[in-house]
Amino acid sequence: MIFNSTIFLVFFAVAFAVYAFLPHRAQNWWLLATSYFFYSSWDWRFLSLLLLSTGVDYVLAKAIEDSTSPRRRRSFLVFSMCVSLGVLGFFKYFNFFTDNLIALLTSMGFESHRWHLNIILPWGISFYTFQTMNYTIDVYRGHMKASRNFLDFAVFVSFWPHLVAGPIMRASVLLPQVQNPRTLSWERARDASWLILWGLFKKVVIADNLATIVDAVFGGRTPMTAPYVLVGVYAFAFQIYGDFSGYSDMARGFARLMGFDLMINFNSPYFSRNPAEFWRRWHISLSTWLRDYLYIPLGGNRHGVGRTYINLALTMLLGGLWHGAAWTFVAWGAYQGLLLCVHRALAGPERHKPTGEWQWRDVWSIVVMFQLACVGWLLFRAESMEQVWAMLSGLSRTGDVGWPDLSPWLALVILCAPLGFVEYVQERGGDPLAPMRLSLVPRTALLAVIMGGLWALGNTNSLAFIYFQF
Amino acid sequence: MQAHPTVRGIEAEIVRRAFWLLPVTFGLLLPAAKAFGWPLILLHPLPIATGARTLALLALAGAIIGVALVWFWRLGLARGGPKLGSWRLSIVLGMLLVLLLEWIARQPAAVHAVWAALAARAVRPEDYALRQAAMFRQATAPCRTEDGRPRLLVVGTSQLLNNVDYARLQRLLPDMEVKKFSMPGMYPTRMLMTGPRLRARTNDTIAVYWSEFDMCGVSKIDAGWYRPVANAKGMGQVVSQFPLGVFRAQWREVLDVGLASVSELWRDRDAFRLLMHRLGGGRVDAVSPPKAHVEPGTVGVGPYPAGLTNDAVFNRGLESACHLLKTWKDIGARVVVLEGSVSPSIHRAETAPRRLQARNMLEQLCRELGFTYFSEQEQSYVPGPADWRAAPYLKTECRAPFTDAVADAVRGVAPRSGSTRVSQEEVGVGRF
Repeated sequence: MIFNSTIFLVFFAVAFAVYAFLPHRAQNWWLLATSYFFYSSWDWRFLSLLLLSTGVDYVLAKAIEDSTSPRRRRSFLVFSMCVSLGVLGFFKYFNFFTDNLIALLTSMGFESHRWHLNIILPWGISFYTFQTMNYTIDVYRGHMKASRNFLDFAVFVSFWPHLVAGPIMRASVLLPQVQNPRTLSWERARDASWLILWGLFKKVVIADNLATIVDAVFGGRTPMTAPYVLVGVYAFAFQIYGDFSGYSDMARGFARLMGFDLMINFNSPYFSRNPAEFWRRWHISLSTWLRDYLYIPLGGNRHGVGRTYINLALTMLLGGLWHGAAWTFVAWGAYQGLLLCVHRALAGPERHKPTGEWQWRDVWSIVVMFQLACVGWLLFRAESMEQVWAMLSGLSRTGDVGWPDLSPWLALVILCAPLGFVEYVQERGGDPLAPMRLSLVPRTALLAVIMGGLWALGNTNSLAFIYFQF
Repeated sequence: MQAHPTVRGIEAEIVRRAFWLLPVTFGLLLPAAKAFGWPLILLHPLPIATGARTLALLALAGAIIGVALVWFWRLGLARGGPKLGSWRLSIVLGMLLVLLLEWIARQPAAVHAVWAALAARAVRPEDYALRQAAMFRQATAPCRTEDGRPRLLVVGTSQLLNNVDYARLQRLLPDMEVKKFSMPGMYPTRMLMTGPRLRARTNDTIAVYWSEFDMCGVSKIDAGWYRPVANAKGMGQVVSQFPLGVFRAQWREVLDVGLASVSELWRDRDAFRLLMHRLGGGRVDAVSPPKAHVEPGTVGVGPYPAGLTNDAVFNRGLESACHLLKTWKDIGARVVVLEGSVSPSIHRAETAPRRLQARNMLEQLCRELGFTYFSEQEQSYVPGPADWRAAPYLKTECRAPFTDAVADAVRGVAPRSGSTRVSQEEVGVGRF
């Protein structure tokens, strides 16, 4: 069951209608029931993983808090991390590591047989694992109290709007919202409706239609020449943004409707002027997680320049690997790490610029940063490193360009025009909800474009969100 | 730290800097659409038939529309901040704009333009089904001019589409206006949906070519097939043919087709999406996706044998055929039912009783309704085993005698008997 499916509409209508009339505690029970139903609608067997993750971290966090011995506290934390990362590692990386290990041993002359298992990757495992990990670590660090109510904790872990693709919420932010009564209002409903509608538009109109171009180019069904390689990569840049930020917006919208506030996951990332800013705007819940629970514990920038670069590179490398078990993701992570290191070396320690401080003279930096991001997307989307090289070498060929070759570019412009307008208003206005404050004419035109687009161009095939696989 | 401008400030800046953009855009767009619209739709150069005066007037009208929009925008900016009521107004106005688009999309000229544009762009093998849907929508568009002759509607599946030489059929039947209303997969059950689009009327002659295989071709509701041709009346007839269990199992498809039956924008969504990706045309040499690759010669073969063993599917097909014949009788049209045949290579043991069942039922009903039924033996051409190139399709050289057989059958019931048989020499094809 995914947000852009018809069955989800039925689910949400029932889930929300009942939720709205329940008192606070009953709402939490209902949320837990609907969240487990939501997750098990994909494959009920993996509900056990969710329960395992919830149970282990609930018990261990309490044990950490209750324990006075630093050694025992540390042991509990390590045990929690082993369980979380063990489950994640097995389901996500077992085949990748064994395949590569065997390939390495074979290349060294050792005889070994294949250990490949048919493992299905449970949806959202990376997201809820990171979420439970941040809870246990925060309790260990004393940043928050352990939850004494299993229901509240289970709702925090499994809250359906963000269960399978984030945002990865901090326990210190979401858990209090679960524990305390929530308010529903027309203003919240209005904001939520905008987020849901716009998120849906980004997914089923922009991302799913751009997928046609991307799949054709990356599937080798177009000439491997510069115009096609470029349009394929640019289209993927907007496809993945529309897909993922669309999901995040919808998740925020559904949560907001129910009285929750989820964190902003994307903040007009293609207006970034440098790699550091890009990572403050792109998948914010992951980048801040990596910063707080990986980069800073590794030492951050506190142990000299060289160590800072190593920490940056290692953080991004692991961030890349978090996305999936493939060398292309490792390469993507390494590339992002390299960009951050080079930028740090050139610009010095990053001056914190508020995102709204946008000037026309920044256009050049924005354009360059977008191109750099697109090189990353090429690594991210490619099936293999061989394909990356093939596409990069295709950039040197123009081929015979005719009118039909303009078609994907025109489609890209048409699909991204409304996105560009909204992003511009959001960026200049410094608020993702800024388009809601537009005056009558542009707001009406925008709503007509969204409604008409959903009606006439929206993909009804319920294509899964790209990030579900991570 | 620099503060963010207000959204009103951003808008005011856009209006101030780009106030000329809308009038200029509309001022250029309208005359350009008039002058280059059809060449761009058809991807074919055409002489500009519009006079300079008309173009100038259109430019002026476009500029006035643009100025009006800017003026409305300024007016909106001058008002207070957005309130909840203002949002409701926007939603209502937005919906009205979508309804306006829906109304425009329903206009015969717009329907013709959309499907003509699609036909010009659906050039790849995997576009075969959509291209044929485009042909069908164009052929049945209400804006098509007719010359007043009695019409012959050739209605059926890709068998009729591929096996009949329509130019030859028109030459053989000069007193009739031959209409190619066939589409791949248009079995009787699906024909219930397309039936109202044919706008059959008194004195029309309708030719169908039905075998037992046509009766078992529809086991489920295929939204992709129904969507482009859906209409409210046809939807009602299709719904009446399926048991409740099918709707329960396929409620998404039913909802999809139901929406298509009432909204042109929804109905044309496949066309819009393809057009958006092929505005400049499609590369014929592009490699097709491996799974979606459909050879015209293989279309319609897939579902044949499966439905033959399913009583419910077969009976539904027969009932649909009977329903259609009765509807056409009510309209006052004349109907010629030719018993269909396929390559003997796909005949199975279960085919024979089904064939007999279909033949008996259709023959009896035709007799009751006063229509003409031509069994295979009664037709002037019976394809031999060597005449088939694929299960339902004849070899190219066999299309002529098959077309002649259709013409012969039609002549027996045509409203005017003045049509003369065109000799083989006249139509330029040797006798087989």
